[in-house]
Amino acid sequence: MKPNWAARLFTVLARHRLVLAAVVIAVMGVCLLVITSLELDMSLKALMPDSSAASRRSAELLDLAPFSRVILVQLTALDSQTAPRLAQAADDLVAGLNPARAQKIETARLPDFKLIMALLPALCDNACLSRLRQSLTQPQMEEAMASIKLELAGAGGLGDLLWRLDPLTLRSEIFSKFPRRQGWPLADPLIGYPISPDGRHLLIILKPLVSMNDPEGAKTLMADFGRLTGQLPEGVSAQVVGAQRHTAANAAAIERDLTLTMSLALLLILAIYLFMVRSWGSVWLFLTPAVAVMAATVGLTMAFPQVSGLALGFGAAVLGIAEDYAVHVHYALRRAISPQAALSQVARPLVMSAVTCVVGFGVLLFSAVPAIRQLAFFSSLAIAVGYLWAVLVLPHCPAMDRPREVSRPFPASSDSIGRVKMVWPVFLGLVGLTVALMSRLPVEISVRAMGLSSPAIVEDQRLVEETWRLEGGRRIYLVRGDPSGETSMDLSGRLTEALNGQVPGSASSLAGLLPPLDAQRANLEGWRDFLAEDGCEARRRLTRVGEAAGFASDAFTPFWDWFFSEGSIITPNALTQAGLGQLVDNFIVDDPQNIRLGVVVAEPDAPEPPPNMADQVFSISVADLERDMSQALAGEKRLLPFCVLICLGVLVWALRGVSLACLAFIPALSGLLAVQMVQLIMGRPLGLVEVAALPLVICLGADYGIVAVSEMMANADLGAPKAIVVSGLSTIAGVGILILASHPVLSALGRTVFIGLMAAMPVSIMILPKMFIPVKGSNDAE
Amino acid sequence: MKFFTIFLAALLLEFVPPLTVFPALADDATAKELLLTLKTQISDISSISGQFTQEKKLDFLNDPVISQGEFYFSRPDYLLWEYLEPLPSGLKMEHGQIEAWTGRPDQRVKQPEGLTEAARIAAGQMMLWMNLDPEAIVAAYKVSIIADNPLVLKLTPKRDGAREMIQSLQVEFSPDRRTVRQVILNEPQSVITLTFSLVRTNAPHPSR
Repeated sequence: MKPNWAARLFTVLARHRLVLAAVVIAVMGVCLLVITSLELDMSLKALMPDSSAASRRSAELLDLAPFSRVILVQLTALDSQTAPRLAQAADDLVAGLNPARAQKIETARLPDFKLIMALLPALCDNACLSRLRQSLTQPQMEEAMASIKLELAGAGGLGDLLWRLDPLTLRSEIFSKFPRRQGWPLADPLIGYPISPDGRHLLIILKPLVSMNDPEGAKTLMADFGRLTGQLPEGVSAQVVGAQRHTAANAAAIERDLTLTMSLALLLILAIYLFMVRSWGSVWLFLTPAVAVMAATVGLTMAFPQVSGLALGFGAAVLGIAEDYAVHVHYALRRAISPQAALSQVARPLVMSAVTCVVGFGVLLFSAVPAIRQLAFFSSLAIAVGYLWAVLVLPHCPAMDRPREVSRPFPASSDSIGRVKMVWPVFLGLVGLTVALMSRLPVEISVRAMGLSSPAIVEDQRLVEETWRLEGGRRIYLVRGDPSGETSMDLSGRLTEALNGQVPGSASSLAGLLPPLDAQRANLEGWRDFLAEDGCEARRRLTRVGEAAGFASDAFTPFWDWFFSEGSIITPNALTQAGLGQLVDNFIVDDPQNIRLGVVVAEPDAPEPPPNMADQVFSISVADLERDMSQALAGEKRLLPFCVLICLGVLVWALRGVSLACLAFIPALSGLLAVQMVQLIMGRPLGLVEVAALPLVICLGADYGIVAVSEMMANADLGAPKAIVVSGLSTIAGVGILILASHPVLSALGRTVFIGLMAAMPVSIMILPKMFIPVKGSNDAE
Repeated sequence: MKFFTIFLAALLLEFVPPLTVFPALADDATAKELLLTLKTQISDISSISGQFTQEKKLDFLNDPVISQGEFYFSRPDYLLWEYLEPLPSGLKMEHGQIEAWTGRPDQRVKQPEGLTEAARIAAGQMMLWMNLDPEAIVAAYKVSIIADNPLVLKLTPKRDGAREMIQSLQVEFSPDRRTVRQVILNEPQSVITLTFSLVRTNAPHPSR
């Protein structure tokens, strides 16, 4: 056989093995250095499609949603006699929290009603002033005084405090502008926390300072809660509800799963090599995935500003392919009369396989999901490195370059070919079935389905929502104005009006309390005119009417104090100072670019925002996010046919024949079909993970097909069947073992790969040879 | 919070058996012990009802405002507190459900949701007191003894937020220390005096 480039290169490198070793060690050292300083992005954002503006914004803004900015801790007592005792336990819990990770949101302090009344001048427009003038007439004042005295005969409390500040109930003009949904349950001032009517439940409302996209931070925070709730008094239990709990549970599950499955995988791979390879060369085979992953990670770091941990985790799945080349070279080296002969024989089919896989994965670079694009890049790079390692470095490693089990000499020419039989019916049948099943299998992307949700988390959430009557399912809209953020409130107001105009009471925002600056200035001017015209007379009249009704002459001094103030422009800061900080926090957020956004909370049955506001209004409800994701990911399904077609195209080029290409592609189709059938039988739609994992099955299947067909074409025993079994089993051990994982994403990944390979592997070894009849010396493959 | 102080007073009325010798100032442990003794001694009382007169002195009114009404509590979770004169209004809690209204018993107009929320908090407090948990009460209040004969207790909320609404509660017992005669609530702008009369224990459930 005529030596090819790989064989010639082997001869050259064999003379400079020390140099080769030094270069390899140096490159690995640099890679290690880069990897040790690598900071992974462990957030779920990388799974959010960014192809459409809506889904990109949803992913960006998810962390700003009010539900992700609060953690609720409910303390539950076995009996109903313990409210203050629960409060003591809550105080201890809050005191034990690290203030850098979570802080209590104060809900027990009364707002400053004097400052709230002082908002009126800036809020009162002409219609409001007309109503005010009506309130200042003598009959209205007399009626008000009589009404106050009757009210004072009641139980009292807060109302008594307000009469001096506002004897004419002008506060209704302010309270009517409050958002309908004001936030959290009221705290019992004596207890300092909201207490359920039965006295058994207490609610702690916390502001987490750890992002829901920070798994490490979330885990630390949840560990704090675990420690603190473990110290609760006997008979008191805690339910923690918050996005960070989901994040921590998912991160912990992934870690636990990976630890378990990686350990199992290592043991299994070791067993596979021990029983099937039985050579010191196994050491170098073991090393192959590590080399590939290091080099590919460095490449990923150079190509993407932020490397997703999820992409890297998924990427481990393709190491099975990178390792395949080493296994094939290993077997070829053992069976060939010389390393050059082995490389002459296997370098070409393996390069075909590598090109097919790189191109197949390359299709995923067009994915809408950042993590999948990174996965594609990582995989392509890992495959390329795996190939180069197998062909250039591995043959020079100790214990790899000596033939051990030559079964028969390779033929002099690599042009030995044969003819295929039954390829077209089988191929077309598989394609038809695949297309038919693909059209029946829906793509369904559920954010919830991608996360782990343990029964304990779901039950705690249900308990808290039920106790405090927290209705879920509301839509949250973030409204973005100009870069200064000043117009976001105006737009929030317009959106609220538009939604309420169609379904009254369906939307709330803070826009009523923060009118546009121009409107506020006009109102303040109107207020000044109003005071100049009617103020002094109104004061004289009220003093007279009040005294006649038995009120002290200075009874309403607090009222006149704010009434005769000229007012000032209302800002979020002014609202916070008035004790409305919780409202401000719930209805105003700053985005990552520090642009102020308005929050509009809409009921589930609220209409859609007007189309002319689409560019400024972003929905961050889970339902809308899932809809955006599903739309964006519908395109992902179309990537699969592209992947199939491109792989086929490369196979035709590589094998120089359509029939041979189809033959080599049969394992890939079988794997694809098997996955689809299992999904269909189990009644599961194709999720994001399956969509991302299917190209892996296709590429692995094509890889097996190419190697098998190449060996048949060469009419030589290169150990391909054994290599396929070893590499397939090691891939199943490495990735398929994830089927045992508790996390749905990892489990789905493992299941898809396992099923696909369990179909592709036997087809390569057992079916393909039956469809190929070798004919020496013929030039016609058909 | 509107009804809280009233409930507190009324509930104290229920749970006052004869007391023995008190120290002049009760620390938390002593107060807890005292309340525990009371709780043990009133375990046979399942309900209490009666009439009340409320006198409210406000610093911006020349004369006090006087009102009258009736109340009924029964364990574990029934409460009726109703003003009859001059402005009929009231609140009822039954099995954790709260209802607040204005108007006479036969012409009740339900209060809006916001007021019911305030009533819910008051009712939560009320349930705490109905069950007289010494530890819980001492956790919420500083208890001190103002006088021994007749016995007068002063309760001061421990939390800042609570003191913005109720500065203190002063409870005066009858000479035989079986019932509460008067409760004085010191609020920021008013002093409310509640005087109880025609008090009955274990009375039948009111029909309304």
